[in-house]
Amino acid sequence: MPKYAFFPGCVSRGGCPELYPAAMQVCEKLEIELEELTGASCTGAGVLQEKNQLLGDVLNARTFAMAEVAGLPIMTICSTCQGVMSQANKRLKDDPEYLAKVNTHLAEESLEYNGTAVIKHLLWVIIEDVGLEALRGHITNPLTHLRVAPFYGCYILRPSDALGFDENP
Amino acid sequence: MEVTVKVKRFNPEAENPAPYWAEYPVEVERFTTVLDTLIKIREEVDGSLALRCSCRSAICGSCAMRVNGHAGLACKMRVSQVSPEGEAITVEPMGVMPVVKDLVVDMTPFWDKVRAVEPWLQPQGPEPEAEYLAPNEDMLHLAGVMDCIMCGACVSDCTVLEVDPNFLGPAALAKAYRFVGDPRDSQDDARLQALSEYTGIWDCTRCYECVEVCPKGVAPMDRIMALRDKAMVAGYDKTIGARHTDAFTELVGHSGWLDELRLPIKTVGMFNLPAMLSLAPVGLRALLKGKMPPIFHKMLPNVESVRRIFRKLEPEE
Repeated sequence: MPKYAFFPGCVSRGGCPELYPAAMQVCEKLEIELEELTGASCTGAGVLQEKNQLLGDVLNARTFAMAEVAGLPIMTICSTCQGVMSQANKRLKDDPEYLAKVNTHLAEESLEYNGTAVIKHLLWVIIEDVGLEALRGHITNPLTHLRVAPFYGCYILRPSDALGFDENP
Repeated sequence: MEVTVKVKRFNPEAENPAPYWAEYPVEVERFTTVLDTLIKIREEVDGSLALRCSCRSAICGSCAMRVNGHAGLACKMRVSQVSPEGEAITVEPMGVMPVVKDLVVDMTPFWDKVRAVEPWLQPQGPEPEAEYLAPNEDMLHLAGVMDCIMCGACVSDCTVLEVDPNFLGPAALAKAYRFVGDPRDSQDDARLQALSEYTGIWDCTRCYECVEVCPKGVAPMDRIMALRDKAMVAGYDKTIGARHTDAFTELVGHSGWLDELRLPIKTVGMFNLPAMLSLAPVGLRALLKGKMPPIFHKMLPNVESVRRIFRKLEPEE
């Protein structure tokens, strides 16, 4: 049974309140165990980073360090959070000096990030851990009568060099 | 290997000009480029196929087009990359710009936007006897953006330009960064002021598509984000975009996570009556659809930890 440190993001607890319970029910049904990172902060959404990238990276490293303590990969249901965390993680992993600098700011919080965090979106988890074929077996109410125009969010696939995930239609 | 190339064609001189798809099965090697495949089609199958190309080495920027839905240089893409399992390859002209014929687009809008940012060095003071000197480290961060070959791929796939033709767009804004960031240029302030206006840096939605498609690693969106920071530092912080960034940062610094209810209010300003009234219908619709963010925004359980980090790294907030 796959287990993840769950990062719900601000939107699923704000303007899109349907996301949070929906994700919970889907994960329960697909036997994906979640342990919520209740103390994790906002990722900055790329907005805070326009003003202060170091601050954004420290906030995200704080979240990554919490996931390391839990010994779990991170799963989010927000495309933006997933993209922003992945970019921050890439900057931290690619540059040990920068990681050390960020860690000096985490020391006061009694945290240290060792560069091992894995960040995934629920949709990746469904594809990689569950598989689309297995997912088919869980369908109880086929929505074949609907014409769906999905918007998964820009960062679900971009920037690809930070995500390590190929486009999967 | 045999591969089918589906080309979106358009002949303006046809009786009823309309775009249509044409399929060409061709025999190529796995290492053949998409450009060479198209040239083969033109030379051996249909001589009327129009496309632009010159250097064939990803230097001139002539052969940008959409391959499998994303813009790029046809000469830089191998058949084995875009059709790993022998799938059909779709080739279309670039987006945003009007099509002249088949894969050839009119790049006038592209050049107009580049010209609008005054893409030339504007130094001040007496001309030096020899060259203008600039410290190496001040120029290094410009090396990436100077790699731009003006192919138009980023403009083609810009998701803002698709709906708002007035946006300056990724190529022109990356070019603007190249001069704002140049220590020899004297017009930083005027440039940043102009770029902060409508059509400028704040109109980017940060979708990352330009970074993804740029064949030269210019990363236009990252340059636009750097310009936003420079504009705010230079004092151009009263635009709606800059206020949004400031409000966002302040709210996260206060509670540890985003208060979506207060973000738009703080961005437009509580006492900005016309803007507040314009938010009302959005708020009402959100309320009726059960999508109103909580009125009482809870603090993060260990908010003091987040606040300490903010106090250290963003002391003015």
